[in-house]
Amino acid sequence: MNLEIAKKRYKEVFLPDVIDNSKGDFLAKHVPMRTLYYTDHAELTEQDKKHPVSEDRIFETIFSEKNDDQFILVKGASGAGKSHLIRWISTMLEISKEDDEIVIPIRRADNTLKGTIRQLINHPVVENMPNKELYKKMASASTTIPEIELKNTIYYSFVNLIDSDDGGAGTDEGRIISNVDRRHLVALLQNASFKERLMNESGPIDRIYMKIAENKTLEVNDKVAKYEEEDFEIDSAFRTELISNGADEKARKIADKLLDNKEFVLKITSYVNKFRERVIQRCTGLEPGDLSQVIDDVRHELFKKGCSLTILIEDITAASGVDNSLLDALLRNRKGYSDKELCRITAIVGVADGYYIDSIRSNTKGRIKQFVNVPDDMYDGDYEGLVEFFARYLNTVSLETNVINDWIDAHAEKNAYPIHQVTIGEGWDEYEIGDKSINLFPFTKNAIRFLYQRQSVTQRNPRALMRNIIEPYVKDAIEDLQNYPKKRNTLEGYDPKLQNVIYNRPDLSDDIKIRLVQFMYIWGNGKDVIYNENGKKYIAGLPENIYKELGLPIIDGKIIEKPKSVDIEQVLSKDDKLKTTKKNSEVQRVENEKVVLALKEVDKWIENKDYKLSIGATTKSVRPLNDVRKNINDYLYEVIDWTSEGVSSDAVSKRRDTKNKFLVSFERQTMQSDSAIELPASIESRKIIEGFLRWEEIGKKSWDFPGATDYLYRIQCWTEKIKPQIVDAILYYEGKKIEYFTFATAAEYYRLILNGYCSNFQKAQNLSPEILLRKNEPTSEENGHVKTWNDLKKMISGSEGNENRMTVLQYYNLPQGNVKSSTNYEYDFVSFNKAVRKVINNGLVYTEEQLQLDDPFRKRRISSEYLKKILEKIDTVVDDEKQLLAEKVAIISKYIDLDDIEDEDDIKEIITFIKSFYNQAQKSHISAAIHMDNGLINSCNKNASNILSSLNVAMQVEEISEPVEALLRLSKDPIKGLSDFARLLETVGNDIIQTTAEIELRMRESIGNSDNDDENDDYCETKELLDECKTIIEEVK
Amino acid sequence: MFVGNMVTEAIPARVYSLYKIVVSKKEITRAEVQKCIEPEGIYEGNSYFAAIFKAATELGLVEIQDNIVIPLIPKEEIKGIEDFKKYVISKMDSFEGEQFYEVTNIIVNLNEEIYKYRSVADTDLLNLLSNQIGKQITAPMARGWRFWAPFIGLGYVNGMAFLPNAYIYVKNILKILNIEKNKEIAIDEFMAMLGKYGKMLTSNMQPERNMNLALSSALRELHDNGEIELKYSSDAKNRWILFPSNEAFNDQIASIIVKGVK
Amino acid sequence: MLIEEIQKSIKDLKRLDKVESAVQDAEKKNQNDADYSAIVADFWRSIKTVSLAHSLLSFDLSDDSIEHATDIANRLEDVVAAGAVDEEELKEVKQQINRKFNPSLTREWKDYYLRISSPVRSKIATVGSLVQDQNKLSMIKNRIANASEWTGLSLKDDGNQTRLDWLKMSIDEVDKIEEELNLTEEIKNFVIAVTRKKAKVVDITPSIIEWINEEKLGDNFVIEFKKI
Repeated sequence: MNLEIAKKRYKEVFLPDVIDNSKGDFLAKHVPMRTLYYTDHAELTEQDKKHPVSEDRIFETIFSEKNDDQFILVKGASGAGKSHLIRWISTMLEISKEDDEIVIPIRRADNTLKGTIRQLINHPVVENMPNKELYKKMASASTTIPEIELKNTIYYSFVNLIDSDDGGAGTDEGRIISNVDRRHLVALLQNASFKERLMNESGPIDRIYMKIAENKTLEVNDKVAKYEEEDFEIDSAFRTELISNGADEKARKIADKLLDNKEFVLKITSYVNKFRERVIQRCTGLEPGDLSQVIDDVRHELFKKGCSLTILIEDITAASGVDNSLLDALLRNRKGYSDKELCRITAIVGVADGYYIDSIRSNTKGRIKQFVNVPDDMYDGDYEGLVEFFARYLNTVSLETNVINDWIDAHAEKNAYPIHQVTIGEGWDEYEIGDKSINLFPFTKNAIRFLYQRQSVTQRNPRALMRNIIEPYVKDAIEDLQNYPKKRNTLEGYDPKLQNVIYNRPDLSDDIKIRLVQFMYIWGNGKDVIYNENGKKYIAGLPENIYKELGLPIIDGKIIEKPKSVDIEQVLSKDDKLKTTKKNSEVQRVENEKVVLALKEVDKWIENKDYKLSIGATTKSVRPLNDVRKNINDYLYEVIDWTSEGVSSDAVSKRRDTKNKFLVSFERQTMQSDSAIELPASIESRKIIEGFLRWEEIGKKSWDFPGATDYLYRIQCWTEKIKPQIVDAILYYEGKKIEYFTFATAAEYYRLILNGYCSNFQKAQNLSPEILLRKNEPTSEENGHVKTWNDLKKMISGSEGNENRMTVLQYYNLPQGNVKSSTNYEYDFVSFNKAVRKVINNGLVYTEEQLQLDDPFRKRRISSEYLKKILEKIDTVVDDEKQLLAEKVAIISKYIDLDDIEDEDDIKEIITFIKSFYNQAQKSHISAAIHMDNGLINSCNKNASNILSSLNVAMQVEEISEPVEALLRLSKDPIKGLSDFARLLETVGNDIIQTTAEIELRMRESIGNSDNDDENDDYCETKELLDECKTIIEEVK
Repeated sequence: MFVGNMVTEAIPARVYSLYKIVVSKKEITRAEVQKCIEPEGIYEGNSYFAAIFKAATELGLVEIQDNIVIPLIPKEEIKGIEDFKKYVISKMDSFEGEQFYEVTNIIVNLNEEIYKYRSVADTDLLNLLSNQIGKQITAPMARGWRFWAPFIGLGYVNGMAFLPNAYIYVKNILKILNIEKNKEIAIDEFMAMLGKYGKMLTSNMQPERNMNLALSSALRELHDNGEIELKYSSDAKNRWILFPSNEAFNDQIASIIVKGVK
Repeated sequence: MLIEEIQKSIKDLKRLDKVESAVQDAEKKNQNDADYSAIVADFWRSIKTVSLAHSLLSFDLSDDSIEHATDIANRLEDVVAAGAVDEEELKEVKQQINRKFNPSLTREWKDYYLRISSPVRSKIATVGSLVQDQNKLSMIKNRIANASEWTGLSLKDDGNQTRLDWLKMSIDEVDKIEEELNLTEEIKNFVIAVTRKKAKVVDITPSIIEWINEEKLGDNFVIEFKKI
């Protein structure tokens, strides 16, 4: 390439053909067409295909005939090169014609009728003709009418014509449709819904309109201006619409007939199309004979001047509507019209295959005797031609306009074809032309072949090749050589050995690696072999300097002899033989389709910085990748020896069992997930992913597949590298070390305290770790605690509490493998002890900030939330308890001076007094005596020491403000201890009051009753009597 | 575990836990140690203590004197699990001829064949081991091996499949050997040094001077990490051949330079 | 504080007890005094009656009874020896009186009465029918009968004389009557036999006839057939 010139010129050289490329550029780019077919019949036979001819031959054949009128039809698929050929003929003709030969080329510049007309009218020959005004009028037809009006005009012209037709459509083919059908058709066309359909963008009316109106874009307008079958295909949905819109019965009837009736649809379509010409003529104001009139006039003029005419029409479809009459004019052999005095005419007309079949009248067809067929896949099988095509384009870009013009002026002699000066790309492939060669920078033959193959079959025509390949790559090479090649192509069916060598290089960035792989495989031969030739080193078939130019490194490879025939002569065939991997016997890798598909996705991800890797479970290529992510995660969980890393298996399982929280995810993946490690989009990652893909697909979830060791090595090294991060991922979140064990332990201690297991401890700091390792079942005996205490106790003694306890017990358990929880405990006692001591020393109290309530992992967070629930209630519990206790103490202190109570005997003494009180009361028959509750008294007596200690606790607790300490004291249940005693005292107290009242009452009564005790107690009288008795008795003895 | 039959329940963490308990208390009886490891209040089922204790004694960590369990290795020498690992590795060769040693040696020399077995307790593998050792190796024994092998760094266990790569094992041996840094050592000499503690890994490699996969991966990884440098030299007399790889260093090793293990 | 209150309460209760029992005691004391007085009075009455009986009729108590009486008198004195009635003692003495002494008295009197009343009664039987004033005789008979029971002996039916007095008088009366009748032995036997309905005609001696005529008693006698 000549870089300076190319930078100037490439934009204009790459204009599409239809725009008026300069003659020079056109010729410079032109690749001689060598595979044309010259026949006298329209369709090619197999026999015909055996005799291709070159363009030169065709040119010679046509223009060797000087006298006879000729009409040559050039047929071929769109884009195949018909207009190119015609243009070439036209250009060559211009250069080499005789003076008396008038050449009128009608370009397909805008491929509209108007454009066609204008070209014809503006030709110098016509300009100087007498009827110029008339012609000018023709040219201006249909310019100023607004689009919608014109479209409507088109539409209703059809309706009119059909309506006034007799069924034969003006042909001599007899009645094509019945009158009934025709009338029904009219009704259908007049139906608003149906009209709307046809008037749609890209519908038939639009297509016709496009042909008639101006073409303001550079777009190649290839669409044929006619009705297609689809336009008349009715489906049941539309039929329903017709009914619901209240369409005319006639319209509905024909709609019914059209429904799913392909034959009828075809008939109608072809019928309607027969009005096309007339409609176009009407709408453009052109008469059928108008254009042909011009042709005849021209011929007559030229006859007068003694000249002959060659008219070349690149694409007759441009003249839609007037094409048939135009063709007639062109086919008019002067020999049959000697009176008209027409000059000799050679008409070369290009037409697309489909159009020829459908739209040219059969009698016209019958009159055409010369055909040139341009095949579609021009370069298929013609690899040389393909390379030549590229070469000429590239050459043209690097030539100054004047150099080309000079060559044109020298009749564009093939041998004098100018070759550009190479200022860049020395050493790149060359295309030999004659004894010279054209430098193919920025392509190589391999690249051309590869990129051509990459194109889909419909994109292999020259126009597409230019647009899709030449233009963009040249642009990239010119603008940014250091990143060339920029575009990424998917490599398929290739030997990955070289790729591996490149990807394994630790010193290269991923960008360079990818670019180098692309370059060496597509531009080079994709092999890591080196040979020397003429002192130059060739790597992968490319010389060393090329790599340097592109800023790419040199890869070491096996040194070999230069291969005898560099295999660039591979014949292109439709089967894409490049795909045969069976030739790669060096590495027998089973190319599993899933693996390949998934790797393609991965390659896209690595190569394009904006590409998001599809992770989800639905797409075919993506499910394996989803599995890979899962498998990588599972693998890491399994192979990392967690205990060696100081991670509790409980902590691991809590993390592992949380769905959608992966240890490893992919950078730039479609499904968001936060993970500890993001696998970056790099080649290293690709290896790891590939390893797991193969594990799944080929090893069937085992490592038993070819090449496993190498993948495993990568994976193992990677594992070791990321292990610290993974461990951190388990043990930390947002920079904080996880502490859920601490919270669970604190909560468990609360449970024990509330259940009374810690009543012997004064402070939290006195608690011991051992007490956690007991059965510690929840107690359910009656206690004296307040409701809030018991409610809290109930809450934390249920399933939540149980779960929490399990967390505490399992954290330092050392299970075998992944067994989650077992009652078979093997304890890391030392660590457990240490961790619990930490909890104990902290005093079991935590602020909300300390509780790690923002831990994103629910399984850990529940410990925090659970502890929070408890802590929130503790103060209330302590307060309530203290309050009730104080009440009891108040009751007691109403009756006894607490300072006097020093030991349990003091209590017993009180009880003894109480007993004696009641005994006395009984004796005295005091009613309060019935309150004597021996059970209560005895139990109080028995529990005297408990009462004493409860009182002590109550006294102490008053002073304690620290809630846990208070809780511990209160867990001794002093309330219960004092309740009975208080009750007893109160009862006694009340009884005493009652008794006192009763005593008073009875005293009063008694004193009232008793008479004065003043009766003599001396018994004098009786004594006298007795004395007398005694005397008498003596007397009577 | 290391002398006589391998068992499943004496896993490394448990043996280490037992050792920690013994060093943490002044005079502790065996029964007390058991109570710590298997807390009475919550323990249910059969006790594994005997196996764990036996393993600890086999490793020379503890012994019983007058009913008191005393640590034979002072706690300053085993400060953490990494030290523990290193210590255990240093003892491995003393179990030459025992089941654990023999099984290990056979497995590391199976190279890629080990991938065929989806589990170390696979019947076919058990049969192979049993035949070669001449004594029945059962699934529980294999499972016991499966815990210690990755712990001492002979490879990774994915599911139940063993994937050889003795990076950690060799690294620890290098630490123990404390080889002079930055000195080029001929490969034969290096292998002899390695053999002082690493015979379990390096003996019976076939053919001669061909390293098995586990050792090869270990050396490669050390090399890739810059901890050692593998050198090829075309005119070295004796070279050792690494297990073939398309990826990493694949030349024959003539000498090794120890740069410093991390 | 409670202990003090309990102590006070107990003290109060004890005092109440005492007071209430003292009240109860006072009533009892009165009761006992009353009882005592009553019993002593009763006893004194009995002894007085014994004395009267003795003086009038030479009634003698048995030695036993005398012993009892002595004992009783002593014991009754003991009952109030403490200054107040000893209930127990009183009860016992009361028992002794009621179960032993009084029955003895009753029994012994009965015997003695029979002994002394029987000749009188036979005299009455003998001569009773010879008496002109039968009313007087009835009265005498009644008066004698009234004194059969000990317990009523000291009753003064007419407000003046006790039954015992009347007994004595009645006996004297009867004696007098007898005397007045100048009864010989023979006549006595004859009167008795007539009373017994065993008098035979043969028994009527002339002296008897004489007597009858003297005394004008002829109308007092009828001769009857022997009842077979």
